[in-house]
Amino acid sequence: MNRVLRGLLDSLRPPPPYHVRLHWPPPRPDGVEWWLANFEELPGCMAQGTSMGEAEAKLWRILPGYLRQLRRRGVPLPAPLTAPAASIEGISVVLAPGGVQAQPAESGATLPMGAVGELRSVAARADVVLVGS
Amino acid sequence: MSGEVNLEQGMALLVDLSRADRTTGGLEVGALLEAWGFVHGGPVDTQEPEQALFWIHPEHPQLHMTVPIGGPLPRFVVDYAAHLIRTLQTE
Repeated sequence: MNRVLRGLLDSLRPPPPYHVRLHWPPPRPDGVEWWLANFEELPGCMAQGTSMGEAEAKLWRILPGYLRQLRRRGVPLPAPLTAPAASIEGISVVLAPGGVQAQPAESGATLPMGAVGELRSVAARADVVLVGS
Repeated sequence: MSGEVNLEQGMALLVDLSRADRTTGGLEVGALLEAWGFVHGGPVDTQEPEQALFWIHPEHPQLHMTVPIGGPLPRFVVDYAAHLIRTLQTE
């Protein structure tokens, strides 16, 4: 199968329902929040944005390209976790199969938002796991 | 770049790159990965090709990561780059 056809087929596949880990932004002198998101199953696949929603949207956007790079080099792709892993550093966040935005429990559970209180509230409404505090 | 002393220097640089008052750092992390033999694998973001650079080690392709470009460098990015470099040292 040639590379172009393989790339086309890859682009048509739905992305694996990986778990998204969102990192709360640390306080910064300029007051601007920079959120980081990565996949629990692919911790090196990460993206950042000035809101939680922007970071997660970018993360899903780069996932096909990231998987394409791994396939090209024969790296086996990790299977989606069946349950969220424990917090690694105690500083993060939300783990949701398929991501917070992908599977909101109700239309009100949308992003972006920034405050930690709102994050907890959305996590509860979206039936996702909140790790850390 | 290799060896015990340079590894320490690299780790120190990574810590410095994650200081809260920094506004950039992704390119420096990329350069550090390159010094340890990682290669730029190509764009992964079709909309903003320069916003998330993909790095992979050609001899150890299980070691890979994206480095967000633009904005300050979150500590997790730095820690993950350090994790890859330390793993490479033990391979």
